[in-house]
Amino acid sequence: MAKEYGDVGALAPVDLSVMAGEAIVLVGHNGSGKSTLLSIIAGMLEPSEGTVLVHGQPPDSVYARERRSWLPDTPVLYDDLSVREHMEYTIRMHGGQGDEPIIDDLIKRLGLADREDDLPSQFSRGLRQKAAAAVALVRPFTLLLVDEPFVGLDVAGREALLGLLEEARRGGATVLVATHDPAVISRFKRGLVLDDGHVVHDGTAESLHAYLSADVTHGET
Amino acid sequence: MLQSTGIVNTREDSRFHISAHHCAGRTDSARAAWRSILRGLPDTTPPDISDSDPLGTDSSPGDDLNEAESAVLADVALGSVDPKMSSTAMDEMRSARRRRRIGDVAWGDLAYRVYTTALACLVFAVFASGWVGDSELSAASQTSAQKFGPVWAGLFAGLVLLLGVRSGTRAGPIALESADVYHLLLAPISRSRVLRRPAVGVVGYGVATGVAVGALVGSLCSQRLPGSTFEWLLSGALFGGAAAALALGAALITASRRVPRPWIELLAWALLIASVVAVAGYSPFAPLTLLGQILFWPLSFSLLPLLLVGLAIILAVVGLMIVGGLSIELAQLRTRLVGQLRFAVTQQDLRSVLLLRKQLASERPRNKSRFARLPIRFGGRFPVFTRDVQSFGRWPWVRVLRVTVLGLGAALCLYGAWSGTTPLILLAGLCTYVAGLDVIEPLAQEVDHPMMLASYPEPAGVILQRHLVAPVVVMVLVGCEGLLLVWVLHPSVNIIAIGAITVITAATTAVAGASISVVSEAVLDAGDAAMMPPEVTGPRVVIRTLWPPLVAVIGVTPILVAQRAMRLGNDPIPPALTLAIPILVLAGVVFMWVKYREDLHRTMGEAMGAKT
Repeated sequence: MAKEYGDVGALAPVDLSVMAGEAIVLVGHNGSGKSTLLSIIAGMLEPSEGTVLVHGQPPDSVYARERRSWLPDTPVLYDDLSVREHMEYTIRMHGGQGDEPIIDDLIKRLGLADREDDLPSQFSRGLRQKAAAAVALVRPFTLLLVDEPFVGLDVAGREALLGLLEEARRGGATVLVATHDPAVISRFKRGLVLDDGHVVHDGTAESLHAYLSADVTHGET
Repeated sequence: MLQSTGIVNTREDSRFHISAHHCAGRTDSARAAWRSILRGLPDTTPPDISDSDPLGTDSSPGDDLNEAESAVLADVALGSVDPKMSSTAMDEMRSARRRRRIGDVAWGDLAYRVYTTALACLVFAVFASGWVGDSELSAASQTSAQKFGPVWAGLFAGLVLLLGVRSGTRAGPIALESADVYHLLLAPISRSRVLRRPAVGVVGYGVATGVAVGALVGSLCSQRLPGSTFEWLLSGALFGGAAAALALGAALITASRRVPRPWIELLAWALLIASVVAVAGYSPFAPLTLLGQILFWPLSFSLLPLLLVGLAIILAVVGLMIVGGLSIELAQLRTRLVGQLRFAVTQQDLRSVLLLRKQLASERPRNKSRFARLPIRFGGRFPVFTRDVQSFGRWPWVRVLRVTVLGLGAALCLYGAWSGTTPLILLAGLCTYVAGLDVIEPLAQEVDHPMMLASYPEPAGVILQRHLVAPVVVMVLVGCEGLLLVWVLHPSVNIIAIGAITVITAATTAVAGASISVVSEAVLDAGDAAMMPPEVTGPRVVIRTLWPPLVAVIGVTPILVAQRAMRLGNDPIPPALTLAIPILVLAGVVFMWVKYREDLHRTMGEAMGAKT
């Protein structure tokens, strides 16, 4: 699968398979194609060529939408629904009643207890990110796509989100996270490095660390 | 088939799979995921990450599955989505938001806006009515109206249809909220269900507008043509509503992507061209003329046009049914831009309107310039000109085509004016003005980035003025292609000579007019605008809007004086040359204004300050 904008190639032909339950970190410089790759899997962008399948179905099918949750880099929330209302609505769209305990738990764990009834339009960047994370995690999924989730988060929020990602992974969900944060990268088992739309490395955490170190050394020399 | 890198798993069919390998029973993995989260309840302390290696480094995927399955039931099971419940949830959410919006409405402000809108419509209707007059047309004029009226009305319907189809290629006519794209279109609910209500709203509003405008046009026709006012109102309303339904239905069908887009666009263009050919008199009939006949029913009634009304209704209904195929990518882009576009229109911010319209049409500059790099020395001596050439080299094809077509259109209009249809010079001037807005893009970029402009070691006005040279050159080239077309139609030495004079004047005034529009946007002192009384602001806005295209129209007037001289049997070239001089002086004055605008403003400000 590839993606082009006019004569600009955002993503070179990529051929990947991801196993269920894998946790993969996507690493790369600005404009390397990480967000483009995740957006295509999320069904927000259409590939210029090739095919994407989520559980064997197109990304925009209802089947895929039931199973995939996406946390984009820029939080997108209704400005006139409170955090709690957002979560209630989301869980109802996925077959819940809107009064499940998970709502309260995510609110607490992400430090939103004091702001759960406030409108996101009044939030700082970090709070909006937390609210968006709560909305993305409140519903069931087998695939979680996360794009730069730690931007704007405080330390507690970051650790809480990392913990939630780990729990999702342990529960069997596939987790793909795009990030620049070296401390986060080191916690993943498998890493993909993208460079100008190409996947230039795909390997274990150790090989990723070695690759990135070599890349930095090469750049310095 | 991709080459193996030795790292990435290759597959025969180059498909990207997020697939549940070894996935027998794996569909319950999400349920297990939430059970594992719930194992953390009610203790909400984040896990001690430092002691573990959290994200899969110490376990294989799915190792914990059996353990997870034995845990507490998840709150919501995967695969338990009930379409009816999802629909209900969506409807209730929308109702709650609507109630909240209504509760937040400032009723006084809304009433004022309704009042001003109604007043503006009333003023327009009265003005139009007075302009049309109320004396009945002569029999010959009535016959002419009966013969040509439906053709022109059909042309209008064709134009509206094409606009609708083009809107559909950009995910129009619906403009969703950004959050709706994320939280509704990505939710496990039928997209047709999600989009139907906003689509019905758009179609309803569009048809209502068409009915109102059509009724107004009908009532204006009733002032000069025989037939009762009621008949004209009815026929006008039906024509307006049908044209709107046709356009909106076509837009929705195009946006749904169920029918190949190129075919729909081709059909819309074919219908429009057929109407143009009919208007030009080269064809007795065009398909959309049938629709135009509805507007003139009081003069000649026929049931046949009702076929097209039926077709319009069918298209609208079909469009509403298949609206779920909308492209998310285009919808997201449209969502982001339409809101900004509307705001820019209300602020009369022409520059923003143009920029956003281009973004909406995905009209991006090319990454690679078409031109080779100019020699270093040339670039060093003429950096502004070089920068402008680099900008032109990155024009996407659609912009090149647009400017070319505008140039040819202006030439044809001037040829028409030369042949006797004098009002066509207005259209010619407008074409050159619109083309000018494209070619002064580098100047506009400079105005958009005042911080960068202020960082250069030269006065801003000097740099802005230098940005006018390359656009004039481009407009002259565009004019020459138009002149070539006219010469092909009418080979004549006089045509070449007068055309050459007009090309020079039109090119300079087009750039001058466009630069007034763009440079005027740069606010030198926000306090000025805030302190102006409404009596000054209103006329100021009108003058700012009308003056730039008027300057462009002035630039094409040499053709008129030459035509007059020809009719009197005189040499047409000297009068054209004589008129060209003050026109070029006018353009020169505008170019000097661009250079000294800031200084003039400062001087006036100091003078005002000294007086007080």
